[in-house]
Formats: sequence, C-alpha cells, structure tokens
Amino acid sequence: MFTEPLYAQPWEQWIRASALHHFISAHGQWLWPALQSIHYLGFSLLLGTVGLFDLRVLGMARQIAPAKLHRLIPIGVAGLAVNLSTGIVFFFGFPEQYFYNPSFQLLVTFVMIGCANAALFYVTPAYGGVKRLAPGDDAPLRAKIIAGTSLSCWIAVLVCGRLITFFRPPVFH
Amino acid sequence: MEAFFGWLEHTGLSQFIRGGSFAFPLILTAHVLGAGLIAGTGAAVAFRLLGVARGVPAALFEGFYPVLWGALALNIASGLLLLDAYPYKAFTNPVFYVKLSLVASGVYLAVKIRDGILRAPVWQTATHQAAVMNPRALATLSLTCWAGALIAGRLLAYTYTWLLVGVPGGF
Repeated sequence: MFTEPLYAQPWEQWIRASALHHFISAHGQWLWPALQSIHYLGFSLLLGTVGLFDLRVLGMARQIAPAKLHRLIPIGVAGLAVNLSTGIVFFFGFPEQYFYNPSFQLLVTFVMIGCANAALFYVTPAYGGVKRLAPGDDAPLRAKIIAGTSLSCWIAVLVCGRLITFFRPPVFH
Repeated sequence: MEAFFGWLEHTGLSQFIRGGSFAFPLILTAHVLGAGLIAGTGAAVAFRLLGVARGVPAALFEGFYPVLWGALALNIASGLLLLDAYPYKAFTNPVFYVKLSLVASGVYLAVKIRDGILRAPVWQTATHQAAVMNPRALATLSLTCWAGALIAGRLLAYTYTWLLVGVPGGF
C-alpha cells in the first residue's frame, strides 16, 4: 500500500481531478511559499502553548498554576487546525510525493499519537489532577508521562515535517 | 568577497555539511526546532501581555525564558554551521538580512519585556508601567518580529539567487 506504484492510483486520480489541485497547480509559485510559512507559524504556536504547558507539568516554571496556564491551549489547538488545513492543501498539490514518503507517513503517525495522547489526558483523571495543582505543586507521575509523551510527539512531528524534503519518493506522477 | 566565500565553500567542514550525508538535514532540523521554540515562547509571553491567561502572574513567565535562551544558543550554533555550508547563498539574499534584523529585534524586545515588565515591582504594574512601557505595544511588536523571522526564514528556501559562488539558484 505504501510502496509507490509507477502510475497514479484511483484515489490519486481523484485528487488530481479536483478543483483544489488545479488551483494549486496554477498558483503554486506564490501559494506554496505562503502556505509553508503559515504552516510553520501554526506549528510554533503549538510549541509555545501546548509545549510550555507540558513543560510546566514536567516541573518547569513550577510557580505557575497549570489551570491558569491552560488558557493558552486554545491558541495551540487553533495552530493545529491551521496546520491541518494547510497540510491538506500540500497533500492535494503533490499527493504521491506525500503519501509514499516515509517521513510523511511517520509525521501522520505522530500527529495521531499526539492527538490520542491529548484525548487520554482529558478523559482520564489526569486532567482533573493537574487542574487542582496550586503554584509550586509537583504534578502526579501519570500527568508527567502524558506531558512528556505530548512534548516528544509534537517535536517528532516537526522533525518528520522538516525531513519530508529529504525522503521524496523517486517517481513524480 | 566572492573569493572569500568561494574559499569558505571549499573548506572541509563546509563540504562535509553539504555532502549529502545526515549532516545537513540534521542541522537544518535542529535550526527549525530551535526557531519554533524561540518564537513559540516569545509568542506565549506576548499573548499573556495581550490578556490571554491573565490568571498567571506575568512575572512567572520568566520561568520559561531558559527555553528561549537555550533554543537561541542552539540556533546560533546550527545557524553558523548552515552559514558555513552555504555562505554565498545567504549573504547574496536580501531576505537573509531581513531575518537577522527581525531576530535581533525579537531578542532585544524579549530582554526589554523581561526587565521592564516581568521584573517590574508589583506597585508599578498599573500606573507607572503604563507610562514607561506599554505592555500591549511591546507584545504586539514582539509577536510581529517572531512571526516575521519565521516567515523570512522559511522564505529563504524560495528566494535565493545563488546556491554557491558561480552556481545560480533554480528560480
């Protein structure tokens, strides 16, 4: 499934026939650099909000009450949404260059682990435990494991994203 | 100048970084991660000054400054290595100077915000501070600098005219 065939598969032909693909092909020269820049901004928002929250749970800037710092999280979620949208545009531009790219496959895997990990944080008592922490309090181990996983996942996403260029599949359809 | 860059491009380290091994992707990735951390941390402080997460005393955000300084150190080191690999490419691109200026302004603002606002005595925060420094203006400027630095950095890949001395870029 992930080995690149010589010719475009039906799903790829469907993307290549879409209006979005044609729009990107026609305007790629300015659209691509612009969206790449926005994609990078969105990611840094995630690092600066979710990443800093994770660091607090892990023990940095301990005088901050995590419940208050949590107000930053919606900005990170917005960054993630921006990146999902711009990411879809990239995928529609060069579908086979992403789908058959090992670095992109890993990126998607880490995004899914990161999101599942975040869901785990909110549905388990971990979130309630962190919310109750007063300034200076140490977070429970369970929350620290989730925060460490979160931080590692999002950094892995950035690394895989940057490395996509270096793992391009050989055939351009 | 061309002679100097040409010489630099022929040194062992420069050739090694460009040589198609793990070196270039590794250094580039470290640089991108560092920039994300610097801009992200700077943005978080700016959001606080603009009114997000008001429940956190602004002074406590200084606790995250080590992230900013650590990432800045990583990026000076990785940036110098990238510059050693492609000096002519960077120095012949005007966008590179824009990026450096934005980074320098961002760092200056980060220090100014720390010393003037985060470290201001509590009795100053309302009246005195508003007169001496405008937290919202500094935060907006800081956000602009970091966003601009990331954009300019990302655009370096699309705006260079020379790859190496005597080797034009593919645009």
